[in-house]
Amino acid sequence: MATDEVLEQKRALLIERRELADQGGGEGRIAKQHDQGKYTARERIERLIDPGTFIEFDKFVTHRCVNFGMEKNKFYGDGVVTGIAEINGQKVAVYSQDFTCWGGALGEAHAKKICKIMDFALDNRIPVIGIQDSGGARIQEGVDALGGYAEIFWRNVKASGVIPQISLIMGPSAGGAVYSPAVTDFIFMVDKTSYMFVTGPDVIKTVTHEEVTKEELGGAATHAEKSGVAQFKCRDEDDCFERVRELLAYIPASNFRKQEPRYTADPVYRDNSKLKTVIPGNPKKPYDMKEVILDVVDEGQFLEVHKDWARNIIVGFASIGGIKIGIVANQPEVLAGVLDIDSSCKAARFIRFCDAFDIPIVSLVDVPGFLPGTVQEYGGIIKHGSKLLYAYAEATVPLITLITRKSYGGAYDVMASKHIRADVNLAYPTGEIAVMGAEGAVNIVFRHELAGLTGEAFDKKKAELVANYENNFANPYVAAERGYLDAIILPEETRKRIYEYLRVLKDKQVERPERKHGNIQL
Amino acid sequence: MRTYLIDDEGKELVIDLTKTKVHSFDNVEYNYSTIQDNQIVNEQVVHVRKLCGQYFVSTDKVAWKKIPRQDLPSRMINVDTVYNIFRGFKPSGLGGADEGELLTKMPGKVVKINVEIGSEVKKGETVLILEAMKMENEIKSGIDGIVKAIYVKVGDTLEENFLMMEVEAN
Amino acid sequence: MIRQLKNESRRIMIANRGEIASRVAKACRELGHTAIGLWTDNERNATHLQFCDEWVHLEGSSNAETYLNVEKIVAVAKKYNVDAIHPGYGFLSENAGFARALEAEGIIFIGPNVDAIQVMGDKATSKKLANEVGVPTVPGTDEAVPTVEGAIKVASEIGYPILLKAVAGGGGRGMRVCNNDDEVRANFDAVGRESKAAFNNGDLLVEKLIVNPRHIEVQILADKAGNIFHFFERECSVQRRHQKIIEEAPSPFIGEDEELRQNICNTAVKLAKAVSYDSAGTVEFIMGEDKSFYFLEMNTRIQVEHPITEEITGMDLIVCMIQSALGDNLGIPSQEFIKRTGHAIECRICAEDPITMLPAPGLVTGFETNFPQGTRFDHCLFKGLEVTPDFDPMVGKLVCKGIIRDVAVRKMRAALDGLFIEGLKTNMPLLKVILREQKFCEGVYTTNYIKEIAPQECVKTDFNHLRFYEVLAGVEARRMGI
Repeated sequence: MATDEVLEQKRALLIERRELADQGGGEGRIAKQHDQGKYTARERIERLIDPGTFIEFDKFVTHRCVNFGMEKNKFYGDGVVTGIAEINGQKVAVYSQDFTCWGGALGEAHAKKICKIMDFALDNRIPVIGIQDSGGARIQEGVDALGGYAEIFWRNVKASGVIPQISLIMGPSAGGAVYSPAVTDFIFMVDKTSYMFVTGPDVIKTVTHEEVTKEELGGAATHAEKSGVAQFKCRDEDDCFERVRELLAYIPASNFRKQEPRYTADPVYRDNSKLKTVIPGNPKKPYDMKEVILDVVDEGQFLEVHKDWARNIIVGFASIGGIKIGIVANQPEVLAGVLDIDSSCKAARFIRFCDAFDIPIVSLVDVPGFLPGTVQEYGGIIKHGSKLLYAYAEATVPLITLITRKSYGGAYDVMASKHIRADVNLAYPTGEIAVMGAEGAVNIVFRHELAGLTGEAFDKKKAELVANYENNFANPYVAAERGYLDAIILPEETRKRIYEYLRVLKDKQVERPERKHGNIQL
Repeated sequence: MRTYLIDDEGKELVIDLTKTKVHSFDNVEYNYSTIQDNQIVNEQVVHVRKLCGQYFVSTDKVAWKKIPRQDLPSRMINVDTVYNIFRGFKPSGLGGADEGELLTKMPGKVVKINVEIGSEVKKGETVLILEAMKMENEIKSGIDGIVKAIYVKVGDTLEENFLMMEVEAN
Repeated sequence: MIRQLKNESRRIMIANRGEIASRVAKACRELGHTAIGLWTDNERNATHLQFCDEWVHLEGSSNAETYLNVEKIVAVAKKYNVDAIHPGYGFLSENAGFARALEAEGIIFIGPNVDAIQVMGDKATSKKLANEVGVPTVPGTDEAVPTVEGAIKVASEIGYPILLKAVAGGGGRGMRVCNNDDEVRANFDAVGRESKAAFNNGDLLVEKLIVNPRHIEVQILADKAGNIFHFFERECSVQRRHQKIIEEAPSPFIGEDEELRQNICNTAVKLAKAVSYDSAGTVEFIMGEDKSFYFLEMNTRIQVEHPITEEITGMDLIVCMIQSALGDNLGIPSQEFIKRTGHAIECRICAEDPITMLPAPGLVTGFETNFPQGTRFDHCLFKGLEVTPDFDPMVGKLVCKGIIRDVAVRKMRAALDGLFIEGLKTNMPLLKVILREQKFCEGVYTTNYIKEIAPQECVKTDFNHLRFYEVLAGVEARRMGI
């Protein structure tokens, strides 16, 4: 009889503790969180993953700090919920910081929980998703908290390029804490409720006397449009979860295994007749490269990364015939599609991510060159432009390049040309591969012929020379004659040709000489 | 978790799985609601259990009905409408933003304005030509509508993100 | 086939696709012959090939290049040493040129003789022949009637009500009903003017108007030894735009009137004898409210709705057709040997919008059946089938047999509920409405059924929330691993 009672008591204790852990910081704080338009840590996990698949770890972990009377103030879970779940059937490791417990501040136990789940993910080769909502380090824990952060950062780096790491910033992330998301592959920020900065507005005011609000300094809009720190800006938390699910549909679980093709009902051999008229005959007229992308990929579905930053280059994920690819494309509508500091950095990082995870890259090129100006030169366009070149040259994934119109000068070399070992180089009949455009070239090459002329005679001679140049050089045939292009294709064949190449390149194997790592210009 | 149903004309219905409750390893309860134009138009609880390798559903745990064996279909038909099914997220690239405000995407000079205040424009029609980076940029209206206001004139040099024109949907 | 006399295995090519090709292939195999199926460039995943022993590629991606191309098919048949070709229905099944070309090559055409095809293929010659042998045709004039008085004279001969019809008219235009002499006088000039304006020809015919018409057809089967039998009738009055939707055997309108039944069936046999018919065929009649019937046309091929006749007589028509073409006699001792029992209904399952009845191509993503006893489903469906606009939208025929008509209707309802096709818009919601509609259930309906009753307007298009929840819940459960 007594043993039954004892057993009952023990069961009841467990259930009671479970419920207590679920409460987090208590009803009051949960209500406050909701008032601000934010979900609690557990609600976020529930909404992100496939329903009913969450397995929690370390529900009852607590801190052991005794400074400042902290031993009286403990929460089960220590302010973070960690565990394994499934998204679209793919196992992932998730951790979600709980703002209702001391503002989500990080302490030793909190960090240990995160490290444990990250180790688990690395050992089992599954992606890690971290939901950041934290006020920073727990001052009471002192160096233990700082050490905790570093342990996390070290693991971020250890896992970088092995498993995809995704950070969702759904609240404050300030000071040292931002370095964990910074190392991760993708950062999602929620508009109006999330912030990232190294030093906050108060400190800035005292040191540099600048007045700036949290939103302006490090809100989602700032990081998505100005600094490029965040790859995705989401309307609200639900939208954020959906975008994460969408992203995970395109990237593999780890670098260990190649991805399976995804299901698509879009026939591979359909004509892209829309593309026949997208590229205007007049080379001075811009066009929307996104239209080209959307017509070629499956069902017009394209997940754009860094949508609002460096818009003169487009990067994102899509699939063709079910084969998942990364797309890098110049956007002639913005800054005429030139390469500059921001766009070089944006594309380079994306290319290196795809290379790390075996995702083939399709590049659509229409680039007149690099952006001139002192801003660019003083900003180090030399360094940043070289990043893009390095990324392409280093990549051993299948690289398919399609030159739709212009490809001039150094930018021709940089944008996955044959010479830096792209696998397949294609061009449309409207392709123009040259050192520079006709106008500029004529001015230099025929300087003497044009020297003595003025007025109408000058215009006439120049027009003649320009036309001559265009006929002879502003076309893809010179490059094709040398074998620098593998084929010149018609716009309507784009999709099926790219699919055929992708199928062939599926099993590409290339060796590179052993080294600890290269010295990419950072 | 939401499942998006989008028909061939782009109209959207959202089915929201609001709660999953596992009663036992072979009996799970799902709370569903349908959202149309941001309004909840239907709510129901569905129980699922497995019997002899087949799945059965019930709304009251008494009357059970077999569901046909299928994985998530990519398309489902409701009498005469075909819906494309997207589980968990609505893919990017489907449907665009409607743009009634026309902002410059980069600095440039206005070389031609094709419309006046009150002109009727169609989505995709070129309303203004901006010269920038030696390219002629055609600025197109994002929606069908009437030109409400024009803030620039030919010859103006504009900075990025300058509001050039407003089109009001009619 | 009653007795199989010749035991040689022949090579039979099926110049068709879809469910009929599957049906014929199965029949060939049953008889021990080699079934040779065709596939084209636009249908690599053809269902019927599963049941064929040999597969032959027909190059081309349009029907004109492939299934309608006589030279190509004959060439391919020669190349693969084909002994006989079964044309199915549609395509070249009633093409006299095709039959002749095969005859020239010494390949057996599994169908009637060329003359029969030719005579019955032309509405004018078939009507003339019918009149000659005493088969009633729709009373009226064949040539234009120039005057009002002439029209009234004809009308009085054939009896009111009559139809004043434009010679060059069609599609229901340029015609007017007249119930007596005065109405003829009143309408004659008006219809003449209308026709002149619309068709540039003001000539008019006078034709008897069949009141509350029913479409009744008789199945004929004959062999090359001159034995011709009928297999009772079918009623196919539920149609739209001349496409049949539902067929039944025997006709509910004729019901228990055995005398009328014998009359119409024997008339059909009489007509078949007149062209020395020697295969399977169908004689179509139109029957009025007063039980008078008139010959419309003869289809010199096997028809889509043959299964319902097979169900009520217990005979396999395709097998008989093949055997008779290969020279066996049917071995049916007499017409009385063929008896009918019960009632069968067929619903055509088509990939079309249930309300507008326009074709709706798509991809089949789910297919399951859960039928009551007594159901037969001839189809070409499988999960992954792509229904394209190139071909006929019919994907299957659902046939239910019951001991009496009410039972057949009840079983058909259950069968429709048990047929699950996902990914394709089908006419099943419309069929379900018709099967519950009062007039249909009573068996009292005419060829104007769809127009008058308009069942397509009763198809409920409300979003069926529960059904979607169930499917999604099933998916979640499967993924959760319960």
